[in-house]
Amino acid sequence: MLVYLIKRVNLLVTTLFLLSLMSFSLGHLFPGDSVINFTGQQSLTYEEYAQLRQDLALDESYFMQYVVYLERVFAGDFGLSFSSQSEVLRDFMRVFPASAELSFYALLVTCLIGIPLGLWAGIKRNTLVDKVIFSISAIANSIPIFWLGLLFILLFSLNLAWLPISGRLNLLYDIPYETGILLVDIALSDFDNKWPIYHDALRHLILPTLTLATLPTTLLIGMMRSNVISVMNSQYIKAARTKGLSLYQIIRRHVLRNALLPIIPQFGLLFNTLMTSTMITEIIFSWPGIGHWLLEAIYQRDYPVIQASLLLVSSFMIFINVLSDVCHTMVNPLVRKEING
Amino acid sequence: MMNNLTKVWLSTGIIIWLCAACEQIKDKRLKNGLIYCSEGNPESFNPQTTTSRITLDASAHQLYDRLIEKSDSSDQLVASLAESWDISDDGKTIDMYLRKGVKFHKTRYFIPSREFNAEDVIFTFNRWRLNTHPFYASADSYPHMQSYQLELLIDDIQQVSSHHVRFKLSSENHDFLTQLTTDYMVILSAEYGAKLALQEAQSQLDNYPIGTGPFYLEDFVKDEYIRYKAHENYWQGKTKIDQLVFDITPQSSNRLAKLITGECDVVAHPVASEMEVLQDRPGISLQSKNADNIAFWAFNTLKPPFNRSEIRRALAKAIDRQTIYKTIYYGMAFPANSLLPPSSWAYNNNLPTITYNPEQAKKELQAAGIEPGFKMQIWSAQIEREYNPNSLKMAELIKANLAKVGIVVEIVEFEWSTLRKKLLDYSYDSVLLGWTPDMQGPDNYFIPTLSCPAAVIGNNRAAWCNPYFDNLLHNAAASTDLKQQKDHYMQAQSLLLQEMPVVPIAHSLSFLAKQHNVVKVKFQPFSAISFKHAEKF
Amino acid sequence: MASPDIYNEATHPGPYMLAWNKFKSDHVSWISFCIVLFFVAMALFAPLITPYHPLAQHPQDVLLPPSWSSAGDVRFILGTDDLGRDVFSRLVYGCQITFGLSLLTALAAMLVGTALGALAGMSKGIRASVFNHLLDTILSIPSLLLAIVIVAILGPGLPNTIWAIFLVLIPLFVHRTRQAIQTELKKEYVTAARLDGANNWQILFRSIFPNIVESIILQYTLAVSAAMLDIAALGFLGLGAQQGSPEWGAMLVASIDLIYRASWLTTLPGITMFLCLLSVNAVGHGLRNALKQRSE
Repeated sequence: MLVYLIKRVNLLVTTLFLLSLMSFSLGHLFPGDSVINFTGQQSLTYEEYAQLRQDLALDESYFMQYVVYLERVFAGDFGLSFSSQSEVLRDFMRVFPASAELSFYALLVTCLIGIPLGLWAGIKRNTLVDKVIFSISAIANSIPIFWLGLLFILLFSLNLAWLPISGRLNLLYDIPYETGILLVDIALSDFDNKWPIYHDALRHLILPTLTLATLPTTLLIGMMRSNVISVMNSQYIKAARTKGLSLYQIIRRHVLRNALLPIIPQFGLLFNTLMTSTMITEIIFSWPGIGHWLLEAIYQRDYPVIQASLLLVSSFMIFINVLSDVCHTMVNPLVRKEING
Repeated sequence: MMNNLTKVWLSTGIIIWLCAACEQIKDKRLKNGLIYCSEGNPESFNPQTTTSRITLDASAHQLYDRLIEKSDSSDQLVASLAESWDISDDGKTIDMYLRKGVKFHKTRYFIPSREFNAEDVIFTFNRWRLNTHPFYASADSYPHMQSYQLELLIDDIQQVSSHHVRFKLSSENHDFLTQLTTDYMVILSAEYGAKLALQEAQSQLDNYPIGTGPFYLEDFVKDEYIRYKAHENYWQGKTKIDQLVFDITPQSSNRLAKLITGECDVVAHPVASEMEVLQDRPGISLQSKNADNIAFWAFNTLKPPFNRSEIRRALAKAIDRQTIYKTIYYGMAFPANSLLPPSSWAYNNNLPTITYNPEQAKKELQAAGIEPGFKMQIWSAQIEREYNPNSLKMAELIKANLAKVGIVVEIVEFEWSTLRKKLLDYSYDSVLLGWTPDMQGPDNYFIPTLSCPAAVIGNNRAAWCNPYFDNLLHNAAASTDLKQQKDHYMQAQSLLLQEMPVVPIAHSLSFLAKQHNVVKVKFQPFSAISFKHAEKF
Repeated sequence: MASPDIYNEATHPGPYMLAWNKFKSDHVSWISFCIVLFFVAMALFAPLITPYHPLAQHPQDVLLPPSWSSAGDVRFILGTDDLGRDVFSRLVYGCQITFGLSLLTALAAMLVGTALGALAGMSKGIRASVFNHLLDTILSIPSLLLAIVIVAILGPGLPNTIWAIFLVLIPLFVHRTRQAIQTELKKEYVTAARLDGANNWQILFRSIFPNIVESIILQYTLAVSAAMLDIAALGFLGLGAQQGSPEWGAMLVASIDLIYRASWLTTLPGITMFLCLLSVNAVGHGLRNALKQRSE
């Protein structure tokens, strides 16, 4: 087990190392002056420029420059944004919770819909139910997410006028920033009569969450279905059936658990899909998260922001990947045995 | 059994969603605030430093007051921070008697200890007037003042008493008082300036504004929103709304959708193409403004071959402007022949119209040595402006037109503030831009856009400097005889058509769309939007 | 009458043939395959099919609805956009860009990726481990994010988008090939070949490749649909094909301004793209099923 953990941590560290190397090289690859690209300082006097150049060790070898870069990263100094001239890390911390919140709800919806449907389809294999679920998920899987978002807006906001189309909350509610997670912030705020505020926040959540959840849900249904089928075919299920357990008992005791286990390491993949979709969803629904921030940065050629967000977002993804892998090993006795044995 | 379990799961989920989906709850708190969906990020919160209408909209009338205002209905001057004024007989000395009891904003970053007085006026004007002033260098330029060369016009400003200042002008100028009413002539706080100077944080003056206006700045999050709160001690009385939010929504289709779903109370520049939809929509009303702006295609006259007027003229002939009116403006614009709209008294009726003639253009281009296959760039911004609802699409049309005369166009698109920054380098071939006047009178169409001083500070997008043209404008301004003035302006217009530093394209009607329950939003020519009197029922 | 046909029953279809027959026997897969072929034909013969050039503007016929509606015009089957460009011609040419370029990009990525994957799969030791880490790094970054960053470095535009997507797709193939090779290497027939004295290259080309070709083709269908989504998404975000290009994503984003007035400009490219993606995905799925059934 220890060896396994060390291996994983090793993977994590090397990957992060490579990522930081990549992010570092971006500072040189982006068009323009690298001092400005690294620091984001726009209006520099000649002396300040020379000083910064020295601080960044830009006249020394690439290795030294990289070391300096790492030091800055560990100190949380990602430079200033070109367009807002505020610290990139601070901006990141402001937008990150919004994306995380949205992704979390989408993941929740994915699980709530994907797991039962996948289970159902797997149990009723090759029946009408299975075919219907499968066809719907295949169709949903092929709808480009940006088109789906537009269709939702067209239908639910513009034609039916049920739901708002942009932002996280009516801007007139001035909720102070505490954690960045809106539903928590509302609870912490000192407004009285909070129900309308929660209600407004939920209404803003529906369309982005559904848009974002569609693709991962179809993936989860597929995974769940094939896992259930393989579990149902296994010997111990047959044994349990001959023992006289009802179908419901079998599903509850054996199928669900055993089918869920192999999904845990796949969470990395789900999360990856989610992250990609988040960027587009946030643009469509003007959700003030990472994707929105990053794309605005690209439109505005804001290189320090692009550089930092690549590093931060990918590090986060890798972390999640490794974490889900480790979790899987922790809970799944079969894998544990394989490693130890 | 299983089916039931799944059904329970499913139905719970669906019920939760549907519950949340039902109609928005009426909340009284939403009545006290107003959301204006604006089209972009302001560069700063100080109108002195820019001519960008987005910045003006976000600051000029929300945060600040001027010494003198224009009355809403006529061209008369109305007292504001100056209660009254005297002009000496030679017109060179102006005495201003300032209002007492005017309070500055109290915000989380500054708490004023005194009321408005003469020091503030002197600080405000010296800030852009004197290049020795500690705050002069904290902005790149002061485009409006510098293109009118106001720093040369004002000789001195003296404090006579705590509420009495005296302006000394170098020459008589009958437009000076009108100048004071423009969006750019906001009054800043000297006390705040002193505090920032002490902290060596000069750049904050423009980004964390303090003024005397009806609202103060609470919060600005780039690409998201600007939040203003009502100024409790506003000298004209507190505004009807407690909170004003600018929801930054660059995409016009998004703004329209948000107006329809009720997320915006007021939206800037609804797209011309959707105007029909809006007109028939219950609950939404439109306010319109005269077509006093001008959209143009500016050539960088510093860059060969665009430094040659025959090429610029030939390119102007290659553009099918009729199609532009139809497809970009949907008929909501008038063809432009000059920068001045035909409604102006100084408009030259005898100007020959620029006609679409690709064959002729091709011949002229070839004669000028431009071979087929010549490549050029057109820069444009992904943003709707009053004068141009879709400059990218316009660029596409021009690209197709120029392809017919053998010119290959590359369209380079930028985000608005990035475009404005990049333009300062004068590295482009041509750019699609325009101008919305901020003062009455023909001057304002020419001086900030095409004069030599404007070329120096980078507001003249053609980088075109013609002393003869400047001279004509100068003579027109100096003359008191209306006929003579008109004569000079007409000559200036013919000169422009001859030289063609910019191709005038259209004068566009501009609109403001709002919910029925919002009233008294000030949306008028020659000034930025104002929510001072706005109310919501 | 002795007929040569008498032994026909005894001929066994080869493994490829078997998979192909299985694939054909599934109606959905077969129909999707035909649709995919139809799209390929559209991409190939776009200039022959279309009545107009995709960028040709008809200022007299602006915003015409599709011809089946009463205000439509037969000359423009699917209507025109706000500059009077024929929507049908644009969709067909868009197929060339979005779908055709995806096919080519994925093909190029497949060739490079498989070669690299074979190298990685056959090598051992430190080199392999470094390579694996590198691969894990790249695979852990969302493909769209990576493509966006590459576009940010190279600058927006269709050619740069294609490069970015090409680079993003390679690791997928490397990963798949490497995994497939390593599974195969453990199998007994490889050991047998080794005992016969085959060297690494012979094992790779003679023994392993024929066994993993199908899974690479499977990966190819996935890559095509991923490439299409990414090209269109980048076009939609304004980072890919230039404004005015008939690329489907760019067409969609340009239509948003007219969503009330000319909803067909939003729906038609969307539906076309959806149909194309659906059929590509269905072919991939059918292929996977056929392979699975064969191995059972």
